[in-house]
Amino acid sequence: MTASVDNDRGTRTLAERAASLQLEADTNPTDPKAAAEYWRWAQASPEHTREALLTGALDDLLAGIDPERQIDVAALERDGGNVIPLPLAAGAAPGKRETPWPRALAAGVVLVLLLGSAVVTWHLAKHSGAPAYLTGAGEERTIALPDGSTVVLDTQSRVRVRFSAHSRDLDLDGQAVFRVAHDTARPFRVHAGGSVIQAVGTEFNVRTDGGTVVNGGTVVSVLEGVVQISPEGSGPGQPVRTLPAAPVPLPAEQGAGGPLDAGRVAAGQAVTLSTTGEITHRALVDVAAVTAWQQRQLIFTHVPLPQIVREFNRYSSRRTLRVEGARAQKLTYGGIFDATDPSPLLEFVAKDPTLVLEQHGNEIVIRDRAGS
Amino acid sequence: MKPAQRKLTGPGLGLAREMAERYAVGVKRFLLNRMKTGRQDVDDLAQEVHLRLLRTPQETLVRKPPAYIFTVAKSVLADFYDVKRRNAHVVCDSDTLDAAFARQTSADPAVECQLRQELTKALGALPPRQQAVLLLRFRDGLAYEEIAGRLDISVHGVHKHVSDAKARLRTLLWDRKGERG
Repeated sequence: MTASVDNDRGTRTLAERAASLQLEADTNPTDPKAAAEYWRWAQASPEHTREALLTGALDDLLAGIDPERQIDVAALERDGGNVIPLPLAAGAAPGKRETPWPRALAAGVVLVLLLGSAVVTWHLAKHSGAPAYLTGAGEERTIALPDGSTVVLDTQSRVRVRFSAHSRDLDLDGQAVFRVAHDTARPFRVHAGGSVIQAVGTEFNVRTDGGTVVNGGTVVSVLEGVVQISPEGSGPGQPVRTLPAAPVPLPAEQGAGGPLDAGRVAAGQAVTLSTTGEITHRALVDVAAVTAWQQRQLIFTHVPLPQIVREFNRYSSRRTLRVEGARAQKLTYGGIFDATDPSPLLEFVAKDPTLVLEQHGNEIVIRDRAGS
Repeated sequence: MKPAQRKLTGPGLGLAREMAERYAVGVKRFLLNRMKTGRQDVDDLAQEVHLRLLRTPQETLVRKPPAYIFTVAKSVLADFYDVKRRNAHVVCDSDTLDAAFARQTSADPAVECQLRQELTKALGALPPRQQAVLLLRFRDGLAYEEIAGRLDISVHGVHKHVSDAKARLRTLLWDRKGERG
């Protein structure tokens, strides 16, 4: 599997949903529920609309598939149980890095994809052979781990990999998406911000900011499968303590809550963890928002300006933004931005008569206009 | 006044239907033509369509939302060419506009050839069962029930294969990383 395909995981999730909803609406034209579901989804965000359009356009392209009828379906059917895809022909898609090995072999190879020239890899003396990976401002990288798992590391993040014969431990500072290869003999555990997140064959996003996130602490969003969360230093199987605050009620079938399930987080859920590994908040995952960073997008819905600015600053060391003034600190905005380009945000802010933009060297300060 | 609508009031229903079909196909070609190099155009179109969807009153009963979204998209595109025409300060009739529109929304032989090659390659990257389902559906025109019977799987399974395969093709063909890198 190529790293760029892994990076497109978030897009693929949206594309699957678009294709499936369109198919349901097309095949059940008299079912108002299918139509309503498609409609609701497609108008939920510009990204959803785009995927709805692209899945329709794809039908048009597929209408001209294999015009000379060279592919023998019967032969494909004989291979139907074999899930290994045919290898891509050389030069399949321009700009895409090819993996020349079959998938089974690729799992045994560490593929480090450098997406920026300033990415630094260092080896820790403490764990000989235990590598750590670091990304600088605006950089992002995909790391294929020796067990077949992959880590997509967001900007200004680092992960240390400590694999042994009995366990797969990783220490995270920053944000990453983990796609975990199944291996019951070796638990896959991410240590972040005082919590241990143990995967049960899964894909999940972890974000830790040393407690500087507005929500506070570490945010774990589970995209597939189930994870078990426990406080750092607690023994295996010791459940996490859940604080009384659980503002968002979750659908019953997702098994949230209940003392035995306290530390379990299933696909579609996101939890915020305190520095002592307690779940302080549960919510449903907004898949598009959580994985948007993989496409260098920032998606905000009523987010305070200081937090938006902090997100942009994570992607740029060249130009940083700062917010000053009581009013500016309290403003909230929403929108989808290119993480590497804050100018649309600045243009928007500049239109606010109560705010003023000042440039000091490489820093842009957004502050309250005097007298407003 | 949208040019598409102006045309529709003229020469009668036969042409109206033909134009409607051509423009809906046009939107799809517009998207396909921009697969590799026009990501911004695709995002801009999606953004505008999204805004118009939001402005559609909630009580509106949309019977075929997938078709409706393309109807909205084609009116966005038509408006875009209308604005361009007005800004050009040159009087041109709708045939000229149609010609410009046609260039943007019809199959470009070079793009067409590239698309077909890439589709063939991307198809080869799918699991055999997904390939079989797509071929039976889109090449051979079988109903989902017929495909289910032939492959001895549930109709739901066929649906899942189609959705998964399309999502995979979408990321293989409209590869956003590839554009950036």
